[in-house]
Amino acid sequence: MATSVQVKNVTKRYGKFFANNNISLTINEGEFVSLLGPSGCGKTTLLSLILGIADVTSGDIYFNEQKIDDIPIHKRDVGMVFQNYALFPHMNVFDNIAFGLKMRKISKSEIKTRVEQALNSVQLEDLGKRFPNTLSGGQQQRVAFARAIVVNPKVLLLDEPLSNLDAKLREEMRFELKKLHKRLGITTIYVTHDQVEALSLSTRIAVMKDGLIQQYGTPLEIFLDPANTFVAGFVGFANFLMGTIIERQDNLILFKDSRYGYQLKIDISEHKEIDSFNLGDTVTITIKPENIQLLHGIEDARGENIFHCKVNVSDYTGSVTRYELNTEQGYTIQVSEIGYSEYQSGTEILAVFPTEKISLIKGGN
Amino acid sequence: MNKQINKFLVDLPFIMIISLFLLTVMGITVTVVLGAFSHSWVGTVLPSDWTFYNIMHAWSFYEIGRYYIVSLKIVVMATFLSLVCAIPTGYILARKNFAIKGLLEKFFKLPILLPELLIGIPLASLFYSIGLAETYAGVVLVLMVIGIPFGLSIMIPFMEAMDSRVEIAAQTLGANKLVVITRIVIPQLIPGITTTLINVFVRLFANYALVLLLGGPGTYTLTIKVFSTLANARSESQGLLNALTVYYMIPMLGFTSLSLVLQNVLKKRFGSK
Amino acid sequence: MEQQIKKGDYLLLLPSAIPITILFILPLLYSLSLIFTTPVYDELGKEIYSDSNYEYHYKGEINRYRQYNPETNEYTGNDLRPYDIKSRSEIYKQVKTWGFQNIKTFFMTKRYRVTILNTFRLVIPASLVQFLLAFSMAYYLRKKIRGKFFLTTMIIFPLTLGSLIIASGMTNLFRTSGWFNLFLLKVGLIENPIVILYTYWGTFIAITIGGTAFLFSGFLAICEQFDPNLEVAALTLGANRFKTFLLIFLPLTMPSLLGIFSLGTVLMLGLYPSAVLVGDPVNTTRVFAVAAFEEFQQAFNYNMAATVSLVLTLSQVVVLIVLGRIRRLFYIGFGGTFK
Ligand SMILES: Nc1ncnc2c1ncn2[C@@H]1O[C@H](COP(=O)(O)OP(=O)(O)OP(=O)(O)O)[C@@H](O)[C@H]1O
Ligand SMILES: [Mg+2]
Repeated sequence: MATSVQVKNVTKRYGKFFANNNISLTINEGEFVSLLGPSGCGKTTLLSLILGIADVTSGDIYFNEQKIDDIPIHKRDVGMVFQNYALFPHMNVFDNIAFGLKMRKISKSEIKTRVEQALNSVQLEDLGKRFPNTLSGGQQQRVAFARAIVVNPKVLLLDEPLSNLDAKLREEMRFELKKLHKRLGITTIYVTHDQVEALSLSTRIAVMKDGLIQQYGTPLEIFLDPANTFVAGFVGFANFLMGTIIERQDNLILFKDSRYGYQLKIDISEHKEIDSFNLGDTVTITIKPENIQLLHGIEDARGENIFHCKVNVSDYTGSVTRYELNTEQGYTIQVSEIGYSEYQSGTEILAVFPTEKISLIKGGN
Repeated sequence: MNKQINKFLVDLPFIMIISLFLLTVMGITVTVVLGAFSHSWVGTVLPSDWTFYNIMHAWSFYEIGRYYIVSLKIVVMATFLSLVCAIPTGYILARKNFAIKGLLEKFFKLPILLPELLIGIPLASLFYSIGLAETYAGVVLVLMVIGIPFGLSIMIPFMEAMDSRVEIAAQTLGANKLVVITRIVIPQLIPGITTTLINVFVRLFANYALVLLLGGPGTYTLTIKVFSTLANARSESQGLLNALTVYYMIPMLGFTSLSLVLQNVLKKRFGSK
Repeated sequence: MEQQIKKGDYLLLLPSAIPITILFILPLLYSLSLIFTTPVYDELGKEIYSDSNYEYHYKGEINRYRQYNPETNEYTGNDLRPYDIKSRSEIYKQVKTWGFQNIKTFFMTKRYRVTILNTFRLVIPASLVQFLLAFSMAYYLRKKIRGKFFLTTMIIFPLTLGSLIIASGMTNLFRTSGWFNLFLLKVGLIENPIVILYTYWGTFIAITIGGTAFLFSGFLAICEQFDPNLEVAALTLGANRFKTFLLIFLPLTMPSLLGIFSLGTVLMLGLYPSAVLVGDPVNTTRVFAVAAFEEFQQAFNYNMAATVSLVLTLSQVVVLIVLGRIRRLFYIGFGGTFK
């Protein structure tokens, strides 16, 4: 009996500043929704409105069609895991987790079994007596999680819970989180600005910018079919070109860039709204750096979607080598190649944009 | 709506406590000023007749001018000497690490924690026997006993906040010790030292116990004058006493607002975390 | 980044260490010699002064000192005012004996002994009231609210004013025809003006105003630094506002609050202007400092003055120890602050 959350036309204003601007979101029972966006875009603000620590300026929030505006925080039954975990430093792990149960006046023996269960589920069976300041970051994070879920909240809010962990632990915890969500089925809202986390965890993602929702959809929709250049850029696209559709044959589009005059072929068979692209439409194309192929030593090759470039900068970062290439006309292309490759700056090189890897976004900019 | 009423009811006791306290504080301040500018003020909300007589008369009657000068001489000198002594010590305590540092820090806190009487009485007894009591030098010296520790306590956090890598960077760029101190250290210290200066000045200006014990008719500061006048003159005209208090309030308020303004300026200029 | 100390750096400690040692540590030691010596009196009950050869007797009532000549068995003497004795005390040393006489006198004589009772009767209730006032104001103002800067500045304002101006202002506000009584009469809460000035309550109010401002300035920083997420966490787990305060906010801030509170209370034990200017320094507000200054300025009994200030200091130590104990109760279970 999970809970659905409806956010309807919610606006939160601080003075003249719109931290949330007319936001509407529907989160179904048991969904895992990520709020993704750059710092200051209003993610925490939205959470705090759902949580009840701030009041909406206008709009309404519903749990299962029931308005929650008048329910005080401590009766909303919303679980929260904070970025800094917010464990009570004067209570040991057991008491931290038992706190919510005690507030609900549950019998001592039941508290004991439920806390132990919760400790089990986050694999911290032996740490009940320890105090938070003796735990590692990952352990603290697990305790915070156990504390939030032990009371069976209607909705679980997570505000960048993994951002204080190191890369390896993050990955591990992400996996645990996924498993837990699957098992418990609690409706979850997850704030992050890490697109990989959002992609791997969520049933749906809401990308935010400047207090507005830019796109709300499944990870696949967002990563394959970004609604605008901001979303595209945020989920890792680059190499934007603006122009018009000059030809269309079934799922194949011929695109002409309006700045340099490049012509590119694009396969849109994967696109959600295939039929909405018409001849003459203004569109933006984008491709992720890792989807561009580099060809070296065949300078005279001719073909579709090929750019003649010179290597400007190369940067080996351990798992990939990033390049910045310049075409003669001055178009800058970002490319990343897996592993170490060795093209010195100044090297003449060909960059190929595979037709099926190019994304098409309606409108310019 | 219900929610707002609820919130208001929760806030109400707090609002009442704050209002009560602020009303008392403002009442104290405002009545002094009103009283200083009125002839007689009995049983009415506001004084019935206004006058500058008290303010004019108090100036000469209480020799305010002379007391301002004496206070200024003593407090400026004591503040200056306290800072001269405290700056090098504060620098070492804030920036260097050594064995007895914790102990020394406690030692320098003692004079402002222990009652001034405990130091003042034996010092007075000693100073009277060597003829230093009631002299400018004696009063300045005794004020330094609290001026130095108080200065240290304000200055050290400022110095600790200074980034010592800048000095090392300067040294690696070829600056010698003198250049590092004059060009790097001192300019960085200016905000902290100015704040310390004002705070020590106000603190010493308001000191009564030590000056009362060690000063004499020629070296009593305005604080002592106000204290002894208020203590011994319960039959004196209230208006005149209020005027005296106003003369005492002016420098106190002046320096405190100066320190507030300065803090704001420094915050803007040097930024704060 | 702290650097290791070099030999020469120790020299820079001296400018403060030397004056503090000379002007603070030496007097403290000298104070012990004051406390543990008592003047010797002659058969007339007067203090005896002497140089290496003669004894000089000082008779308070005729303002002269006398020189006793054993050969002629006669007294000779010059007129001398009290301060002459003081300034000539290099030549004429008071004859003293060592012992616990001063401390005995302190505890045997009522007018000394009452200072302990009087001081604590003022300071304990006043400090509790201050704690409640300052804490509730700091708790309320811990969040960003409109007008916060003005309110906090005004609450701390009495610190700027100092105890003299507070006392002086109180003589206006609280006199029988002042605003305070006027208001209560108008509202009908009282029929006759209440006398507050020059009683216990005058001093009580004066130290409460100053002390509350002091505590508030420290408490506010503590309350502002408290991680609001901890409170939100408790609320989301089902604790109401009161329980959140009681179970989370209070236990976590208490140690730091008590630290400031100890300092404030200890400093308050040395109260003086408030006791003299708006209190009743002959009876109910005859506190340590009143007795000490009286001995020093009127009786010229430095030994007794030093003894009173010793008892004051010991009282401070006792208060510190007691509050330290209470403070430690709140630390049970976790070591210090937590990030
Ligand atoms: N109490 C407040 N008063 C005024 N402005 C506020 C307040 N709280 C938040 N803001 C502003 O609202 C905007 C959104 O803040 P919010 O905390 O929701 O961002 P965020 O998306 O969570 O960012 P981050 O990823 O850095 O946590 C910010 O520009 C912030 O400055
Ligand atoms: Mg945030």
